Amino acid sequence: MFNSVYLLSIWALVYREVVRFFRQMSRVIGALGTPLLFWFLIGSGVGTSFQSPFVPEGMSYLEFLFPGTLALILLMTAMFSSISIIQDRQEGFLQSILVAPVASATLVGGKLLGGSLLSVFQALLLLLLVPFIGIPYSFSLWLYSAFGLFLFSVAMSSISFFFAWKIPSVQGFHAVMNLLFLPLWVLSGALFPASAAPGWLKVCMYLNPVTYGVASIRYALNPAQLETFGSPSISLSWLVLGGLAVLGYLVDVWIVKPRR
Amino acid sequence: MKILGFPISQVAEIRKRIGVVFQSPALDKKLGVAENLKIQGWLYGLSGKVLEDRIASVLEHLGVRDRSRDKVESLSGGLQRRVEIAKALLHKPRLLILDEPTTGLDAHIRRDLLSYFQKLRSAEGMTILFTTHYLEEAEICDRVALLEGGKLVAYDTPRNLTASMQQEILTITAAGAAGLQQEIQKESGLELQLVGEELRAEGHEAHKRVAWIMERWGERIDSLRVGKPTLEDFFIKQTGQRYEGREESNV
Repeated sequence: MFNSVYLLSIWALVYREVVRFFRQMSRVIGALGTPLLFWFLIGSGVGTSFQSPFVPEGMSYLEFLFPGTLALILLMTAMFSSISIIQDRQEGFLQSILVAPVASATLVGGKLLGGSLLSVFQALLLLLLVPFIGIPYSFSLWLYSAFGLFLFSVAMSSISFFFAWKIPSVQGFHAVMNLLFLPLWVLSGALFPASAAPGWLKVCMYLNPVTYGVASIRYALNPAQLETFGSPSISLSWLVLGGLAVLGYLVDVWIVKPRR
Repeated sequence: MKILGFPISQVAEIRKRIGVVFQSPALDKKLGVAENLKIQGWLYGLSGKVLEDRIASVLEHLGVRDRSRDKVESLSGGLQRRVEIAKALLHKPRLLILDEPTTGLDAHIRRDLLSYFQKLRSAEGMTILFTTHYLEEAEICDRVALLEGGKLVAYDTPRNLTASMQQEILTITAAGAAGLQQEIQKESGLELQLVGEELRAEGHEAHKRVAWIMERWGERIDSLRVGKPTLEDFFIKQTGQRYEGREESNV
């Protein structure tokens, strides 16, 4: 299965995804701008008007909110790249892939990989800002971020791929994804930590896959944050994200496979 | 059932050997013409110099090589259709399937396209299967399948199909066609079929009646034609209506 033809097809789909992305600068601006604005406005506002009880001495709320901002970028880019599936279907491009000698596994793989590379790329762009919140650049920062973000991104892309495949219109897809992703993001430890949440909410947060994404980013920024904020451990986070990515991929391949 | 010698279960083998052009456009409009073909080539396992040469060659043949760097969205509908066909031909399929490839194209582009199909058939030995609304296009095909309401009505060579009819077709156009039908039928003994505003009859020597019919009912007739049967006549005879459905033609 992993022969050169397979890789070439994956490459074709990834290449297309990337070229399309950079031809539509509004997408870049939308996916990066919104979370950045969120981060700056909420972070500055909350940081100066309240003394957040859960943020330890010497840490700003902007710093606390930063990993959540990266997570939000990933969620949004995952959503944007899945919208293209709906467009491809409407524009007929999907049909031409479906008659090509390309397996469902390749189609899904190319789409998820292309979307995820773009998401990680955008999140890493934002990571360039870390010196402003007092964190120096380091090799481990980039390595752990990229790794965690990639797993997280494939997992989230596979979820949005699923809905994009099932929902016929872009508007409907948008509505469903907002309904799904926004609460998940709010309950991910991005806005407030699990350590500050009441028991029942804590359970919800631990059941939420986005929590593990945010934890993996916190770990890359500062490993000590996980314990401080009651986040899941890094090995559990990577395991959950990786497992979800594989499971999501398999489910997507399954729904794409033609039925006879 | 087998396609190109492969049992239907070997989908991957079959897909490698067929090219499909859909009715709805299937190009990526944000990408350039050559870029679209490049991606298509990769999906079919072509790459490098081989792919470049193929792209240049199909674009050349379809007369769009000078637009290879342009974005697809900047091309007219007719040019996009040609790029679409170039894309389907990229991997040298043995069977090319097109769903109404000529719909919405200018007459001269349609003609060019059809003669290109004939060239592909004779030079490359390619089987071309296409659907069309224009019955005159089906005349160039080796075999024609007529479908009505999803059912196969006829399947044969165009010659055989029209040969099953008599030598001449007489067509009368008139505003009160229904009333005339009764009268002419009664007096001439011709079997007339009412199709919309037209009356049609098949006969060996229909032309001999022309003068007589015109003398008798000329006032009420808009036009009267006599000709050899065409595929359209065949279709009307089979279905009793003007051609509106689909038809598949196998070049």
